[in-house]
Formats: sequence, structure tokens, C-alpha cells
Amino acid sequence: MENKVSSACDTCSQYNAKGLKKLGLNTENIDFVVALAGNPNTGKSTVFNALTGLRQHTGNWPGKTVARAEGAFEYNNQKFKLVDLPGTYSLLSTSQDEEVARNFILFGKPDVTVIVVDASRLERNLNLVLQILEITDKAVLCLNLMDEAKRNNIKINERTLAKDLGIPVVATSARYHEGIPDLIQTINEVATGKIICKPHRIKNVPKNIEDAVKKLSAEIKQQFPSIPNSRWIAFRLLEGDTHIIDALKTGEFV
Amino acid sequence: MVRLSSLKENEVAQILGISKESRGESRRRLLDLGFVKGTKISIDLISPMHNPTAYLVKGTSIALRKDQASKILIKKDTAYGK
Repeated sequence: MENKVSSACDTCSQYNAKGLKKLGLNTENIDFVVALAGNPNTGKSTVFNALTGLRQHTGNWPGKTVARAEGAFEYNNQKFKLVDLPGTYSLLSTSQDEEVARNFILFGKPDVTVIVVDASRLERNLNLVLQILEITDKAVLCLNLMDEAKRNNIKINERTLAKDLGIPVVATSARYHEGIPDLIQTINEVATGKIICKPHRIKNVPKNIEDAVKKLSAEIKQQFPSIPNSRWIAFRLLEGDTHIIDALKTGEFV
Repeated sequence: MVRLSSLKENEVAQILGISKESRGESRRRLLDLGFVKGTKISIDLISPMHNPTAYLVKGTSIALRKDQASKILIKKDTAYGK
């Protein structure tokens, strides 16, 4: 048999079907860790299942022990571990189930954070997006539920959005597997450094606050050299966030 | 300026802000859920005792207890009333 190219997909970098392997639960020898974050009900688990081939069903109602789900896929001989997190509205105020998500995004040191948002309710989702961009350099925005947005005649200018946020934006309808190849490709390029993100950050922090944050942040780093996001913690300490103060005392983040 | 807890079914209002009575974590929570200045709000579902009540805000239905809703200040929008 001669080796014929059976379809354009085989050679297309967009969807390298041969390079993609869904590894399911096998999370050994991982090259990159990818976190899936987002508001509740934006389809994080659907994206997770589309990428790993698993059939994870995660619900988050109060009282349920929300363990994060993990799975893996391989793309171009590089293994990615995917961590599906419970939905959260914010990194600042957290209910118990949201704390799992917050702690992983902040202190789990994921290589790439994929922020899954509901395209038909983009405005309310951007609150979390901007908070995550404050603390990470490598992120991808997954504009999910595009089918629903289209049905509601919502048009989104993805290029402008990507430019304003400083991270790549991928439109998907995970339920119908639309945009998933593009998402994989983008995750891969961000993880390997082919795409460099310049995430949107809050500027013009008043000088007195900036000075206090810098001073505090340096001291946190001195006490806990391995801690990521010391700046974020410094802000919380200045706010008097009791959860963070307690967690720092018990060394939970280290 | 009235409180969100006084909003009736089929009325539409605009959020003016969160009362100073709500501070710290509870205030932050309301902001994160989308109860921010300038947002249009109406009632989505009412429970038998009107407590909690689900409000439609930024395309999502969010249920609040009466004591939480009373901390949100609104301006009823007669022009938008259905």
C-alpha cells in the first residue's frame, strides 16, 4: 500500500489528527499542566471531555465535595494534563467549592490557564477573566457556547477581544466539537512559547498602595521563596482578607 | 432611590449601587455576581414567601435572600416597564 494522504486534515497543522491522542485518565510523564477555569455553566466539563475523551460529569452544588477532575491528551508527542475546576465567579470572594478552583489557579502553577467563557453572557464573564489575567502570563480565552450566542444574534469581534485582553481567543461550541482542534493548537503554542501573551493588567495603582504592595510582596517572597503570586497575596493582606491571612499562617499555599 | 427588595414582578430597574450597610465579603460577592452600577435588573422567579427571589441580571438568573436584596439600591425604570 502506498502512503497516500487521505484528506487535507492529515497535513493540516490546525487538526493534526495523528498527532492528537486522547489519553483519558493516564496522567503519567506529563510535559504541561493545563487548568480549565471559568464561571459556572460555561461548559468547562464539556471542553474537558472533548479534549480527553473522558465522560466526566462534574456538578457543583453546595455541600458536594468538589474534587477537581484530571485527564490528559497528547499532541505532537507532548503530553498535556488537563485539570477541570469547579466554576467560580471570582478569585476574591469564594464559597467553599470555589476555593478549590481559586487555590489551583493561584498556587497550582499551571503552565497554561484556559479560561472558558459563555459567549452569550460575555460581560459577566469578563470579571473573572480580568482577575485571572492579573496573576498569570499564559492564558487562552475559550469563547464557548458560540452556537447559543449565534442563536441570540450576538456577534463578537474576536480579534479586538484578543488584542484588548492580550491573550489568544478561540471560539468554540464544545458540544458539537466545533473549534476544539483550534483550541488544542492554541494551547500547544502558548505552552511551548510560540505565542507570547501580554495579558491586560490594571495600571495606575495609586503610588502609596503600590509602594505598600511592593514592600509587603518582597517580605512574603522572603518568608516563602517558593510561593507564586506574592503580589496578589500582598493585595489581599492589605484588604484584610481573613481567609488568606489564615492560609498564610498555616502555610497552606507553600 | 429604592431598594431592590421593593421591586415588583414585571418592573424593570437600574442598579445604582450597593448600600454601605453591606461591606467586605458580602459586598464583594454581590459585585462578583453582577450586581454592579448601571446594570438593568428585573424579577425572574418568585418563591412562595418571596424569599428568596431570583433576579435576572446580565443574562443570568441569580437568587437573593430578602436581606441581601435590601442592600442593593435601584432606580425603577418606568420607561422600560412592560
